[in-house]
Amino acid sequence: MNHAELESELPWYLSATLPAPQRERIETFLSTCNGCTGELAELRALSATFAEIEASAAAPSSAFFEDVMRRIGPGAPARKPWLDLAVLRSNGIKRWGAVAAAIVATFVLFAPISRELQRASGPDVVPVPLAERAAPVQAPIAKRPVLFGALNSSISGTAAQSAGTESKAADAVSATQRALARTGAIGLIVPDVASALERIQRLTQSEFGAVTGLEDNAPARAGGAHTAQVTLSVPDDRFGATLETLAGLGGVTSRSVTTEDLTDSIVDADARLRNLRHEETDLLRIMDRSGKIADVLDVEQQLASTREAIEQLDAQTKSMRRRVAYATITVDLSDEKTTPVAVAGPGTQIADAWRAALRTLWGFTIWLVAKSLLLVAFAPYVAVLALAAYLIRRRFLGRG
Amino acid sequence: MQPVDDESGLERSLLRRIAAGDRAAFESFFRAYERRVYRYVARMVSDDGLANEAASDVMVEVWNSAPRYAGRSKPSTWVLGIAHHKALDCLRRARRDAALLHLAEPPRTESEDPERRAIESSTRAEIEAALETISPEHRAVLHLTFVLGYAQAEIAAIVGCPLGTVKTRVYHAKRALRNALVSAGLQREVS
Repeated sequence: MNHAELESELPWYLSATLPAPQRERIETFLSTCNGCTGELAELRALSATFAEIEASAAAPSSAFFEDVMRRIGPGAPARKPWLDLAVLRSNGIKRWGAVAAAIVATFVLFAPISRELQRASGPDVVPVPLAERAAPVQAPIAKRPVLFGALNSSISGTAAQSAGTESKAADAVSATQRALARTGAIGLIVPDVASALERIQRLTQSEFGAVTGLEDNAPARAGGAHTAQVTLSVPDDRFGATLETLAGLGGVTSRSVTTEDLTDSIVDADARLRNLRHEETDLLRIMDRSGKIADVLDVEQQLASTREAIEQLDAQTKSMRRRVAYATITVDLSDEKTTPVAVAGPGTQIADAWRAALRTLWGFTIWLVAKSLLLVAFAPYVAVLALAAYLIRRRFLGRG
Repeated sequence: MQPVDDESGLERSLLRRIAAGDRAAFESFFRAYERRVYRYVARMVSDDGLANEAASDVMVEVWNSAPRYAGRSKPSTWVLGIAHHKALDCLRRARRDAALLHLAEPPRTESEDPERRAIESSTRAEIEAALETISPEHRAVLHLTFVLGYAQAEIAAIVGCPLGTVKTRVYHAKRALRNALVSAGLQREVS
């Protein structure tokens, strides 16, 4: 104990409200410090003066009691049962119940926003209701010897070609940005092909994409090889993230990305389409003016041929825009158990294990940071609700 | 000084009866606390009119809040906690908070001896006058410590601040009082 510490405790030493061990320490120190003895004498003087002041201080007026009784009126104290702490306690609600309720309420209220943030920020797999998707467009399926229920619905129902995303691609072209159609392929060795297919399907849904093709070659006999090839269509801006998530599903045996620049083709097709539509309009005018049957038939023939060209070109343009808006990824899956893999040496195995551990650590770190940011984002709401709960409690539940 | 435990038990019982609307119990409680409450708020607000108003508010609040007294603290701590906040409310209502609620300047670092002598040699009237010049929060903690003799934890509960802040506030309150006495002494010497 030093002089400053003792000085801060002396008022309560004087009023004898300190615990015995603390009193003893102070008494020991007092015998060795003249400064502290002087401080104590000063406090005694101050205390005695205060006592004198209080002894002669004015008492409350005689009307004090009458005034209070008049203000409280004839009835009993006004209870607020729903905020009565005694009632709350009898119901088993503890002090932190209100705070917990505030936090839960915050997350319930803002769960939809939370889901949107998760979708926007990371590769977390969140099922998306079909109703939330854009108008479906039928997509071709190469081969599907075996179909899973969920995959089936995904393939047939939602190729997920969003009109909004297509218009974005068109805007991109008109804004002189490059219209790039990206295609990726990845080969994976996975512990279980069936469960990998399920995960890929969920991942595709969460990325607002669709499984557009599936070839699942289940083993005909026990111990046989199980392989599958899945073709995905995902929004172009999720291409990289999806490819990375897919790589995390197993051991990557191959990976490739190709990009085709469709800017000129789209611009050219748009120009030709405009010309053909003008030609169609002109032909319609000519047909209206022409009085001869032979001329009308001739114009009709030309009109039919122009319309056919318009439809073909329109389909081509849409297809190109679709390829720009949605990237295609082909995933080749092989069962780990039956995939012939060269036996790696101990060094390679340790290196692989280390890389896998790092990959897991990185994934966990990203997940942790994302969740922490989510909590930080909601912190103001939690703080406001907690403050409101505290103020309500302080105002209505008393301080006792 | 501090109420003993028996008194505390009796007061808890009175509060339970008040919660049930027993006016006789309220009168007993009122009589036990009227002077303590009045002196405390009077010390804080430094104005008889405001003190009467604040003390009246405190007792009405005791009546209204008795059903919500949870028993976590002593009745005296609870009542003086109400008194503390009512006195501050009263000061704010009177629009004097800007002048009265500020805390004193940080302590000076010069030798303490002249200041210490200032308290020991000051008369009662001088100390009373000096008390009027320091902030209500400082007057409150000095009153709770030296007049009512409350422990640190009880003062913390009454004024609604952490335990460490109580020590700091009492320390600064003493320094503010010393400074006020020294200033008053200097002025007297000049005049």
